[in-house]
Amino acid sequence: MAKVDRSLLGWLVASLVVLVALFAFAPISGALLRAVHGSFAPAPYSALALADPEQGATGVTAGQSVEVLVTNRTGATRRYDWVATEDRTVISQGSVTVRRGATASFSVASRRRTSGRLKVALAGTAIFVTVPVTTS
Amino acid sequence: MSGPSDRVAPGPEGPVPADEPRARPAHAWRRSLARAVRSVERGLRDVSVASTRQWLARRLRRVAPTGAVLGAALVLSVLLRVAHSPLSPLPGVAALLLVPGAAVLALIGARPVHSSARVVVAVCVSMTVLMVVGLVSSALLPLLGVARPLDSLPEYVIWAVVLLALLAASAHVDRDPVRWLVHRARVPSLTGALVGAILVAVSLLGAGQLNHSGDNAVATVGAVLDVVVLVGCVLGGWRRDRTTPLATLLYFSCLALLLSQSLRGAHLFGWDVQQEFGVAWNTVHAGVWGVPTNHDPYASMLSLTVLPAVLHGVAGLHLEAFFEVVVPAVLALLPVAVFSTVRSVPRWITSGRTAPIPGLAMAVVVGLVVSSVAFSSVLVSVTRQAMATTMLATLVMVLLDRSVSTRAAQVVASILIVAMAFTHYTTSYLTAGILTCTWVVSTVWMRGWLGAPRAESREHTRTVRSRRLVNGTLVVVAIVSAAGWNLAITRNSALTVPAGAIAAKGVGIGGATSSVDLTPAAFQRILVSEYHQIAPYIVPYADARRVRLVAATLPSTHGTAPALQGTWKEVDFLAVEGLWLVLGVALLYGMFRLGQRRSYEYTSDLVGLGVTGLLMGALLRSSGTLASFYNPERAAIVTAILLAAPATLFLDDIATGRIHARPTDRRRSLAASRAVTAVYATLLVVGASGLSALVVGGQAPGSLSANDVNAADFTVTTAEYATAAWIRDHVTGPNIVQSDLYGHLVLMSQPGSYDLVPEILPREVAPGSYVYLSQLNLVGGVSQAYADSGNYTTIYRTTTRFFDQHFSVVYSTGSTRVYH
Repeated sequence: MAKVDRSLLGWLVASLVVLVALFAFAPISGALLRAVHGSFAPAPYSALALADPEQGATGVTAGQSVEVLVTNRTGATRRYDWVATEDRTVISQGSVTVRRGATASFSVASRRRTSGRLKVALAGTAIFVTVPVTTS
Repeated sequence: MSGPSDRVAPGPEGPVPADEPRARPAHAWRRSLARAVRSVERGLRDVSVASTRQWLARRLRRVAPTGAVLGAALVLSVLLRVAHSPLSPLPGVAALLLVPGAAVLALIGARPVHSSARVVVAVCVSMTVLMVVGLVSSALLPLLGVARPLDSLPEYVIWAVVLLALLAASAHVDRDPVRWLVHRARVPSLTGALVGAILVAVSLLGAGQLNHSGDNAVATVGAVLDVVVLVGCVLGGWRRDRTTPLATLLYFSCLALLLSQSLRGAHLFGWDVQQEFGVAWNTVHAGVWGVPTNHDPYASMLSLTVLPAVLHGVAGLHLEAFFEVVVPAVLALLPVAVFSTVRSVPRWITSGRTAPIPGLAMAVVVGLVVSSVAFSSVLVSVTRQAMATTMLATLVMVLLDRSVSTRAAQVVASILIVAMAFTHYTTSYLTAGILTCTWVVSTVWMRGWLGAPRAESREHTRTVRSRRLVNGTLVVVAIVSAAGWNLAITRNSALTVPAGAIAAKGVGIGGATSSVDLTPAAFQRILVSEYHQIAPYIVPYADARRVRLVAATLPSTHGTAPALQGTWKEVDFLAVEGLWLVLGVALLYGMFRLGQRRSYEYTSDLVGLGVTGLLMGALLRSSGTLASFYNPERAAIVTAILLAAPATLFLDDIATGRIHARPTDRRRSLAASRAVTAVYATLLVVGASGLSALVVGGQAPGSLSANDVNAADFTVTTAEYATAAWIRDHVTGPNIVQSDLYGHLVLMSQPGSYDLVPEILPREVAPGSYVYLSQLNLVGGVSQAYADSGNYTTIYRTTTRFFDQHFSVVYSTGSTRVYH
């Protein structure tokens, strides 16, 4: 009988330990991960995309506008400065503020009567999109 | 997870191992039936005599422990979800992976003596129940107007009904599933639980650190701890009177090793797992499973579709967590299943031999299974095979476990064989082949044509016939279930490509069984010729011919003692090849020394499984054609599972001096064997864990490195995953998406309606297609290509300039890019 009681007590203690571990997991693991500079959270990033990806192949006629989407996955609201160039000449620039996790759009007009390649980039990054510009 | 001792107790007919099952009459099922009828009669009498309330209360009390466990799981899930804990799905998943299987085992009456073995079988049978219930609900409920039966609400109702039915059936036979599972099990030892928790915690921290900062300090400590614990188990288990929780420590050290890989990267780690995730994702979003119209083998497997969808629907388990955590937790049961097989004397052997030394059994498992390439680095990212191979190991365990009655073992074996058909097509075909070959070999053995002296042939046949479990029925079940599910029901194309390759090239004995690295120029010639045949619609830009490919190399670990690299390679090669020698000699020893003289010292099942294992391993190791579809490493672990028991018997006879030594020399023999075994196991497990690469240099595994080729090949970054999702949402058929081998990895987990061409060599890029460049392509400047089903590979500098000239950038994250 005493053996049965000990066994029951053991199972009870084991269950309690598991219970405590379940509820303490989140705070303890978070603290330990911070201590070793580790994380399983997604890495922050920003992205730029053409609203109509087909424009990448078909291009736009000179003077037409291109709609560009900027996505913010950096974890905080952020202001993005963008620069539009055509054949290495800056044709326009501006900024757009995007809330965390959101996507915003802005339009960039290409130069009139000039063919070439329009490039829209986020300032100070390697993030950019390009569109061929045709005159006919 | 530790069970009673394996010490021998003398019986009326000589010493019989303590876990010898009680003798069952030939027609035990008749008695069971009579008992069931009497039970029903009693029940009816109870109803007539007692009030309905008392009748119900009595039956409910019979299954109170299981009811309490299910209730606790439900309450815990709700509380953890309220607390926003990442562990909120854990109680539900644990209950679903244990209770249904335990209930089925209780109903069948199958209870292995070791509690670790019970857990393994319960999990495998639970997975079967989950898949079958999901299949039935997907097939029937749409007919009743429930269009999405795999969604949460229908699944809650379905599982409430299924669990109540299982409880009612358990109450009826008076066998509580949870009590059945933990019968005579010791309370988990504090040491085992604490060490296990530390190993898993360090493994998680190591993966988190590598993912975030690229530092491998904690991951290295974790791998060292795993190796120390495994070798410690070998040494500590050498004395039979110790109560070291070997199975618990084995499970947690294996789980830690597997988690250190599966949790690498921002998404899933590995190749096949990306496509498996895509299939699971499609099923969850469809809310129902149906036979795939495109005959896709992955989508035909319930293990990749229905199983994750049910766990997602009922327990709220994220799909990523299914592949990153649940599958490694199931796969870590594989070594435990093999350990449970080899730690006892196999079924039918009644010669009075003692159970093998626990430490030796552990060494066999560590050397053959844990240290195998397949277990340590392949299976964790081939989840369908991970689950099916665990089932195969469990099948062998049930066949050889003397504590499970013959009838119950055959029923459980049949369940597992059927389950394998919808878990992994290749393992299913393989199992059918293994059982057929085993049956033929054991029949030959039974007839006395091999080994038994002619004079004793008739007696030998009679004895062997009454002592074998792998019979014609199991063979028929295996063939019918494998062919029925894969060829008749889903008509999947798993056999099409290998069969075509064999028809075209033959088996290719002696052909190359691994990829050949070529220079980019030589490679391009092969690839262009291949693509002219398989993708004639690709007409590249005219100036693509002028692009000169430049060979590139991938970063590797320098190591703290690179001078030792040559020596280590030789030692490692000899150690691994030596295993095959041990397996072959062990089988011959069993057949000709033990089995030839007395049939009760060796069994036809052991002979059949062993010969089959060696033949299969040799065939897949030497066939260049088959190696393209089922690499020799994956075959080696199946061979290890089949031959682990004969190997343990052989090594135990050497260690205990039974073969050669005089009684006075046996103590010395035992000590020497312990030292040799520990050193051998250490060599193997250090190589398999990847620690050797940190010391002597080379390609460290993804679990220990942030930059080496393995990490680059198999990890996915957040930006890559986001880019793949953008492509899925914005590119539709008949557009083509092209990527290199690295880029292909993440695109498989986000399948779209476009056509995917895994090639971006300029001469194979179609104008107008979408071209995806991964982080390694763009930032690392390296691309990889393969041809002839992976037989040829090359690594070259990414031709970014060519893409800049001919394409526009339509999506960019800085580290990834999509051209169009």
